Amino acid sequence: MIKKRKFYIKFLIILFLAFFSSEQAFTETNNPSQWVENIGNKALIILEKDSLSDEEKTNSLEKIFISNLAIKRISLFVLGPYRKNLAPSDSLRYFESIKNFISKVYAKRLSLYPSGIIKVTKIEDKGKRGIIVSSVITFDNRPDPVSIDWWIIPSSTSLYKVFDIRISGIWMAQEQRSTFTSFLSRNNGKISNLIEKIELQLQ
Amino acid sequence: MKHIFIILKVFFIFFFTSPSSLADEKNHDYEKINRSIHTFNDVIDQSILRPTSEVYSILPDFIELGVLNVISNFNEPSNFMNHILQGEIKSGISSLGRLAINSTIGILGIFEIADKAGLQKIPNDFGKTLAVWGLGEGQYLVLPFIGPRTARHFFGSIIDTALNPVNYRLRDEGGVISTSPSILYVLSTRSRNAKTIDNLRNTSIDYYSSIKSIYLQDRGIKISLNISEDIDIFNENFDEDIDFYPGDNE
Repeated sequence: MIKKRKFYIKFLIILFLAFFSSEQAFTETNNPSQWVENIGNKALIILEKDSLSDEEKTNSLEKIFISNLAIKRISLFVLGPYRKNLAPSDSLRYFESIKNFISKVYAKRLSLYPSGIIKVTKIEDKGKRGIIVSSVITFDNRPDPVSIDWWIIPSSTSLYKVFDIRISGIWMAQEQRSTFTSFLSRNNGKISNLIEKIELQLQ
Repeated sequence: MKHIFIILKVFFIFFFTSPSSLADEKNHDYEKINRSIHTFNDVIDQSILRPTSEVYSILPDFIELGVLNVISNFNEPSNFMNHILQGEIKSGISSLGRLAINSTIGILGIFEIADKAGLQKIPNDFGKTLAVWGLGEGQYLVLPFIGPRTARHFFGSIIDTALNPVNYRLRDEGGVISTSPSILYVLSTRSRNAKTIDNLRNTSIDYYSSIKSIYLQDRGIKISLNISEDIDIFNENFDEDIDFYPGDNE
């Protein structure tokens, strides 16, 4: 009887711990604010390292973007109305080139900033369109803070992926979309030409 | 009389044909000529402005900042006027306060004191006033030496220039002196944004379109009375993407 009671108590404790710990983990990672702060901090730690050269910083930032950007969604968005021209045979090569290109561009732009402290200021849930997390980065040696908005969308592999980033009022994916659609309009909508241009740019 | 008619005609063409919006990505009517002027501006930038601003950047940061502060201070009368014309009385009074504090305690605006006294700078321009009054932004233009402007912004800039006291105070001193604040401002701005400009130039697959997008987005933010509006415009195309590859978010 005592053994049975001990077993039940142990079982309940294990059940409670399992539930409690998973619930805690869930609330921590499911929090968009914390998710964004984690990514922001990872980037800021890289920017803080004086031992790294500019190129090393860019490469490290690039890795963060590669693992956290919603590459396929961005790839399709930046094509605008020309996305219907994307042939299945070209899609893998296109997605790969966009992944490398966008990550590099974002990393290069972010590497211009010094390190600082990120603070989330607002969260707007846009339903199926995703979540806009507004943040501010303050710097020790710069008077003006930089506002960064993160447009994140739910992901099946990690909780969220970044669809777009707005730095000081400029949405970066929207800017890319303007350049891509402009290029395609002057190249008869040929996505193969765009891929070649991107690959050339990456070299 | 003929000239007035031509000016009015140009004005109406600019303001009332093909009004664009923040998210409008169609080719603007003057894209061909815009691109030519953009190329010209880029040559000027790379051959004259960039090297000159590099020399200018040797100056200590506090001198560069002081120059920018003085020029920014001279814009306060224009800010004041535009706040009032937009019915933003409180912001107008704040601009006047800034002008008074920075021009006196801040020694002609060299030191930004008003900011520390709680009077934050609220930039404004006549282009925004026209937007508040309901005028469309008109065509996207690239102007020689000036760069991108919507027709509304361009027209507004003319009024703002007229409201800047530097243009009166130094007029009698000769053309070189009267234009020098503008040149200093351009050099300061170019020098402080050198890395950003180089970065954009090197990473963009279409530099002209990047500049256009950045300018229109930035202008949209400055004009927008409700920031969330532009997010909704951006969202219009988002649903189409969802339909295109359903359930594929990665």
